[in-house]
Amino acid sequence: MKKLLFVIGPIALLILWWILTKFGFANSFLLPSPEDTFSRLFGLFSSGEVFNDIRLTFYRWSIGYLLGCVVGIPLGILMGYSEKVYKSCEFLIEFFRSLPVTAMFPLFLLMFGIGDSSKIAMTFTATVFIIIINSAYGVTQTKKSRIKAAKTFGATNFQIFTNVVFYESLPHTLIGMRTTLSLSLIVVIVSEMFIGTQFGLGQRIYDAYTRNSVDELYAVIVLLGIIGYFSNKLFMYMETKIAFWTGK
Amino acid sequence: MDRKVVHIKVDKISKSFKNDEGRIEVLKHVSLEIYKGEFLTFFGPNGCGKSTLVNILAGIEEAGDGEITFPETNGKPKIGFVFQNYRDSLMPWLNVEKNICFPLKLKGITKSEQKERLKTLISEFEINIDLKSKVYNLSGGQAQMVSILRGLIVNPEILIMDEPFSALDYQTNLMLYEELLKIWRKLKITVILISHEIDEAIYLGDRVAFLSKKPASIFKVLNSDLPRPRKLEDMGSQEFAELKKKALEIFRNTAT
Ligand SMILES: Nc1ncnc2c1ncn2[C@@H]1O[C@H](COP(=O)(O)OP(=O)(O)OP(=O)(O)O)[C@@H](O)[C@H]1O
Ligand SMILES: [Mg+2]
Repeated sequence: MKKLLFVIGPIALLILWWILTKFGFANSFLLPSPEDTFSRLFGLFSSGEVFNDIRLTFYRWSIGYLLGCVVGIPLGILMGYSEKVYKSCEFLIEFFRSLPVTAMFPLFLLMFGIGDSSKIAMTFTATVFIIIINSAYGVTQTKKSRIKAAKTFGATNFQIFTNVVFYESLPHTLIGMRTTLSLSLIVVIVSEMFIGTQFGLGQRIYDAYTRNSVDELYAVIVLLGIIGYFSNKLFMYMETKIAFWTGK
Repeated sequence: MDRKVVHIKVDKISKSFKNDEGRIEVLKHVSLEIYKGEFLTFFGPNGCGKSTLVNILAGIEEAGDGEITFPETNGKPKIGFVFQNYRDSLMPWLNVEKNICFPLKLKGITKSEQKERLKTLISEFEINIDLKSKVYNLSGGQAQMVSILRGLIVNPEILIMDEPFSALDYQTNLMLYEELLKIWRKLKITVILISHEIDEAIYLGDRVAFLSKKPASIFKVLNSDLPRPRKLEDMGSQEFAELKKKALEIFRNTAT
C-alpha cells in the first residue's frame, strides 16, 4: 500500500487542474483542460510529428552531456589527485560553474553559429564544470587509510589510482552526473528555443507559443516533465547498482 | 622451537616528522631483536610512535636513522599487515573473497591461483564467513577476521598487527584472541602486535616491549612466560596477576 502513496500527489494535481478548468476558475487561454492537453500529447505521438523533435533533442542532449562527462571526469580526478592543481584551479572552475551558461548565449552563437554545435557546446559547458568539481571532490574524499593499505600490499601509484581512488570517487562522480543530467536537459531546451532550429522540443514549445496553441505548449511541457522525471529515476537506480556500497 | 634465532634486528631506529612548529621527534634509538616465530607485543602510551615503528618495520615508512636487518633471510621477508581500523582499510566495493585476495591481485597473480590460495587458507582454519558477502554487512569481528586473512594470504613470514582489537568489543576480542593464537600456532610465523590493553599484551605475547612517551624508545621488555597453549581462563591465574603487577611497576617508573 505504502508503495502506491506516490500516485496521490499527481492524481490530486490532475483533479485540481480539472476542477479549475471545468468550472471556469482559470482562463482557458492560459490553462487548457487536462483532457485537451493529454489528447494533444496523444495526437503529437499518433501523428508522429513529435518524433523528430524528440530525436534531435535527445541527440543534442546526449552528445553535449556525454562529452561533458568524458572530458570532465578525468580532468576532475586528476585535479583532485594533486592538491596543488586542485587549489590552483578551484577558483576558475567555481567561477565558470557559477556563470549561467544561458548568459553566454550570444558568445556561443558567435563561436559556433546557429547549427547544432552551439547547442551541444552550451550543453557541454553546463555539464563539464559541475562534473569536474564533483569528481575532484570525490577524489579528495578518498580515505587515507585505504591508500595506505594498498601501499602496504605493494600497490604502485597507478594501481592505487585504479583500485582505490577511482572507486572512492565514483559515488561523488555519479552525483555530479545526475545533477547535470537534468541541468543539461534544461539547457538544451532553452538553446533550442532561442537559437532557431527546425526540430527540437524547445523549438516546438516556441512554435506552439507563436501559434497561440496552448494545448500543445502544455502537452510538450508535460512530455518534458515525464522525460526529466524518468531519466532522473533511471539514473538514480543505476547509481545504486553501480556504487552499491555508498553510505554503507 | 629454537626461540633465539633473530628474525628482525632493529638497530637504533630514530624518526622525526616535520610539522607546523618544526620537527617532532617520534622515535629515538629504538633497538630490539625480534625472534623468529615469537609473538611480540608492543605496549605504550597514545601517540608515542607505535604505528610509526611498525610502519618502518613493514617498510611503509623510512627510518630517519638506524637500521632494520633480517639476519636469517635473504633480502626482505614477506610481511602481512593488519590495520586498526578494519572499516576504513577494507574495500567496500569488493566482497569478502576479493578483499582477502586484494594483495594477490596487486601482485598480478591469476584469478584461479588466487582462488586456490584462498581455499588453502580457509581450509586451514574453521572460518565460517560467506565469501560472497559484502564486507559492510559483516560484524566487526568478522570484518577484522577478513582483514587478518588478507594479511595472511601472501604467506607472510611476519604478521604485523597495528592495534587490531582496539575498535572491537571485549567479547569479540576474546574470540579473536583464540583464533589468532590458533593461527599463529599453526603457521609458526612471527607476529608483532600493538596493543594498548595490558591484559591483551600479556596474554597474547611471549614478550611485551614497553615503549616510553614520545620520543619513544624501548625501555623494558617483559617476558610473558605463561605456558602455551593459553586459555582465556589463564587471564585469571596467579601467574597472570603477577605479570600484570610487574607491568604496572614498569609503567609507574616511566610516569615519573
Ligand atoms: N606522517 C606524519 N607526519 C607528521 N607527524 C606524524 C606523522 N605520522 C605520525 N606523526 C606524529 O607522530 C606521533 C606518533 O604517531 P603514531 O601514529 O606513530 O603514534 P601511535 O603510538 O601509533 O599512536 P596511537 O596510540 O594513536 O595509535 C604523533 O604525535 C603523530 O602526530
Ligand atoms: Mg597507532
